[in-house]
Amino acid sequence: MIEIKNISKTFAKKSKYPVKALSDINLNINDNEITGLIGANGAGKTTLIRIILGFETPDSGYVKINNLSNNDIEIKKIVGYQSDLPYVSKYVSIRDYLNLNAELLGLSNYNNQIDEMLDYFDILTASNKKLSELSKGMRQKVEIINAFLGNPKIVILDEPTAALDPIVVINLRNFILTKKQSGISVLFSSHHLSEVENICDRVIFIDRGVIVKDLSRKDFENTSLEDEFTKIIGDGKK
Amino acid sequence: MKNIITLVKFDLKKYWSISRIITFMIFAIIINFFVLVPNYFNFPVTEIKINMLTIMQGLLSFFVPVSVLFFTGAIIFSDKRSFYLRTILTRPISRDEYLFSKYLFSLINLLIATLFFAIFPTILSFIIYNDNGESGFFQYFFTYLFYIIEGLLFISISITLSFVVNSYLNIFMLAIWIFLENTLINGVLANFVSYSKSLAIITDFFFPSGFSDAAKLIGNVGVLFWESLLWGLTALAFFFTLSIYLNLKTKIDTISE
Repeated sequence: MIEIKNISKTFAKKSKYPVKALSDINLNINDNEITGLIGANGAGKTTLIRIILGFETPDSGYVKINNLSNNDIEIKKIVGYQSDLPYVSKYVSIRDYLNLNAELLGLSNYNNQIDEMLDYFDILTASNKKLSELSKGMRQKVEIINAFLGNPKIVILDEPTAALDPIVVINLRNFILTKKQSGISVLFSSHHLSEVENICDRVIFIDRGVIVKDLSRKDFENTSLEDEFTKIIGDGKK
Repeated sequence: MKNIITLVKFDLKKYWSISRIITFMIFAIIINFFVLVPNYFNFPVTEIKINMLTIMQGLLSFFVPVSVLFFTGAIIFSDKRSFYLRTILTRPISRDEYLFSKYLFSLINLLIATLFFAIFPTILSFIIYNDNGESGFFQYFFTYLFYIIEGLLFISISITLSFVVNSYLNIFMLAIWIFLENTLINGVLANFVSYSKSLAIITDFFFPSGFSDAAKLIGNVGVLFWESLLWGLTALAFFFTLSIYLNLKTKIDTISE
């Protein structure tokens, strides 16, 4: 479980115009649940994800994952992350990159797992291509595979469908649902409300650094998330 | 240690592409050729035979800084820019392991470069030209060790700089540093101690019985070496510590910087 307690973060504190990215965020993300993080651009989704991953230090509050600090090395073994800004290199192939990550995770006999996922996302034949030669969508697929490498307990996906075509989006949805059955929890941020609606057990709306609504599937089953989004985020923007 | 080796292996594989190995080999052959050919024809024609130790020192003093500029100039900055650092540090490795992997990677590159550009030409010169026999194995060994320590200093400066400045600026600053360092050692220290006319004059003045020769000898053999070594090791410790500090403080990615 991810426990987020009293997290606040302000950027450019010493400047004339400080940016309050997050304000007193309290949140528990449960095990074996798919949680969607929704918000307009600049709402604070990525900052929250970066704080959860330990990239950013909060001004106040803390994040605990399975009762351990989010910066604990042990935690990194059970958390997978798909970055919205993939690693690009003209010297590294897809396979080299995934092999490196598998080795750092301490996995043995990882080739089958990598091949299966590459095949699932239809990039097995391109596995020896350099990362710089890939399209944006293919890089995103590589990052998604990387996030699920070694079957982590928690997977954090930052805008996973942003560069993917509709078929791959459907495949990804099925992939996440299958992984959930094997006990993986997923937290993902997205602008695509239909995607979130289709697979999430819970949806968190974030606006200007504040959690404005926390809905379970039961809450949004009979309504559309688009209406909710317009009501919550749209109203605030008026 | 396992993670450090994994990262170094990855870096080596990433860096040493086939085209780079070929370019490196061609360059190494050219350098060896330039060192060997004049020796083969016994150039420069002089009464004094060429000392191989001098050749090695000349090659090392050029290729050690050049190798560091080439291999380590942008090492951390490029990892941040390509989001490699972000990817790596989401995995179960510590920042120290990442940093030490960069040191090890840089040191391996330095050893490879000096081996090809300084040691091989010297060994081949030995075989073809025959050394005048004035220098023993230990002199060569310690000279090499000295330059490798100097290389480590340059590596630690380069890594430290690459945390805070971009690649081109880093290479530029490192070049200035190397120039200053060489000026300081070769110009100031060497003039003052090793080939010291002033020291000789002073000793002549105070000890007219010929003590200056002894002072020169001490300067040539011992004082310069130990002073340089001490100076280098202190600077190495300083920059190494600074790089560890910056490694802990630096943000994983450059997005919010």
